[in-house]
This record gives sequence, C-alpha cells and structure tokens, in this order.
Amino acid sequence: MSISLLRAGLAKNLATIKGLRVVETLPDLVNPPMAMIGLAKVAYNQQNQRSMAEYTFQVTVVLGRVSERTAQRDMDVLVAPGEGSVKYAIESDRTLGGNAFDVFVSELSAIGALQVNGIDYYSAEFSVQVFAR
Amino acid sequence: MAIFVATDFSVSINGSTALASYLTQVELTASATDVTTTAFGSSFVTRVAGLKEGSLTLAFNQDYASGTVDATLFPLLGANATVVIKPTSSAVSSANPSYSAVCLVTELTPVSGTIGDLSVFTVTWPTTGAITRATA
Repeated sequence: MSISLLRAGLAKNLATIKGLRVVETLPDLVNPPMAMIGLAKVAYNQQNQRSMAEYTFQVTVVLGRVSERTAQRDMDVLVAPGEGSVKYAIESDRTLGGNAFDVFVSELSAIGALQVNGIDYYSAEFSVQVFAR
Repeated sequence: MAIFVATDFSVSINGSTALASYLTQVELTASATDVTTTAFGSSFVTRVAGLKEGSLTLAFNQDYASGTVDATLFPLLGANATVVIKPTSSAVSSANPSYSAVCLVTELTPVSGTIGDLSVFTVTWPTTGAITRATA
C-alpha cells in the first residue's frame, strides 16, 4: 500500500473538522489552526504472506499561541472523543477511502507547548494506528 | 532453504489458500503415544511407540466479509477439513515440504475481541488419520 494514499485518507477525514487546515506532510511553516500528518512507525508482517502492516502516524494539531484562551478551549473539543474531535474525524471513514483495513486513534500522546520558529504554539499529538497492506 | 523467518506459510483448507493471508500463527504437531514395556527384572523403564496423533493450531485475524475467514470456517464446524501446509508458498520440494492432514473442526471462536485491539482468534483441531509429508 502506498503510504501517500494513507496520508491522503487521513487528511480527507481530518478535513471534516471545520476550519482546520490539514497538510499531509510536515511543513516548514506552521499556520494555525493546522493538522500535520507524520509517519512514526511501521510494523511489518502483521499477517502471513506480508498481507498486512501496522502503520503508526502522529497527527499533530496546532491551534494558536499557547497563551490564547480560545486555542485552549478549541483544543478541548478536538481532544475529547466525541463529535467534532480529531478521533471522531479520523475514524469517520475507517477504510481511508478503501486503502486500509482499519484505522484507530489509540491515544493523545502529548499536549502542550510546541515551539516553532521561536513561537510557543498550543499543540496536541495523536497516535493513529492504520492497518493496511 | 535454510533457517528462516516465518512470513510466508502456505496453508490451504479444503483446497483453498484464500485464508492463508489472514493467518498470524501456524503450528502442526505430531506425537506418538508412549507405551511402557518394562518387565520384572528391569532396572530402567523401557518403552515402545504406540498410536500416533496430530493437532493443528491456527491463529487468524478475523474478517467477516464474504468469502473470507468467518464465512469460510463457520460452515466447517463439526466436519472434516483437509489442510495442506508448506513453510513457504513456493513449490513443494525437499527444502519446502508439504504436510497434509485431515482435521476435525472441533472448535471455532466466531466472535473474539479486546477493546482497541485487532479482532483475532485461535483454533486447535485434532487430526484424523495420518499426517503425510511430501517433498515433490
């Protein structure tokens, strides 16, 4: 399976969150509110005959300067597991357009300040498991 | 073939290899019953081999789609299934022997899962009749 297709599927699902810019790769510049998709790990041979691998993506969401109250309030909505959240959006099409067996947001792995170009942004990082060929 | 990492086992069930790609574990065991022949005057136990038997363990990732794991296996419950196993999907040879057995499908686990994990299950079926090994 092409990893770019998995990225595209994740991006399409994330784009269902209103107002969130989504980039499929890590950019030079951050333009919040923004979600960035990075590949963290691939576990091969999860099934016989190389028919499935487990891809772990890190989806990083940056909402604004760490001191902005609205950024923190908006992040609360994105972090909770219900409607409007990152988990809800990513799992809205669990086949990623027919390119995956399943997708699952397993955890919010980090939340807090992320320094980019000297600016502290309020960010959250989600671990996303994708099972695909 | 030399020492190898198990990634490409070929397993056919009733002539079809359609489920091979869903497997995560394959284990075929064969054993002979241990019959003691120790008599008076012996100071050590003596033995002969009795009847042989086998057992097949398969672990699957579950899939309920048509023609896949559950739809194929569930109708086999209580019936015999012919299983042929090779270490790799290459042709049978002296370095890639095939093992054939008829298994009695005595158990299935049609529903199994832990929250947040892949849905997987394992079956262990006894063989009925001989296990045969072929190299050609």
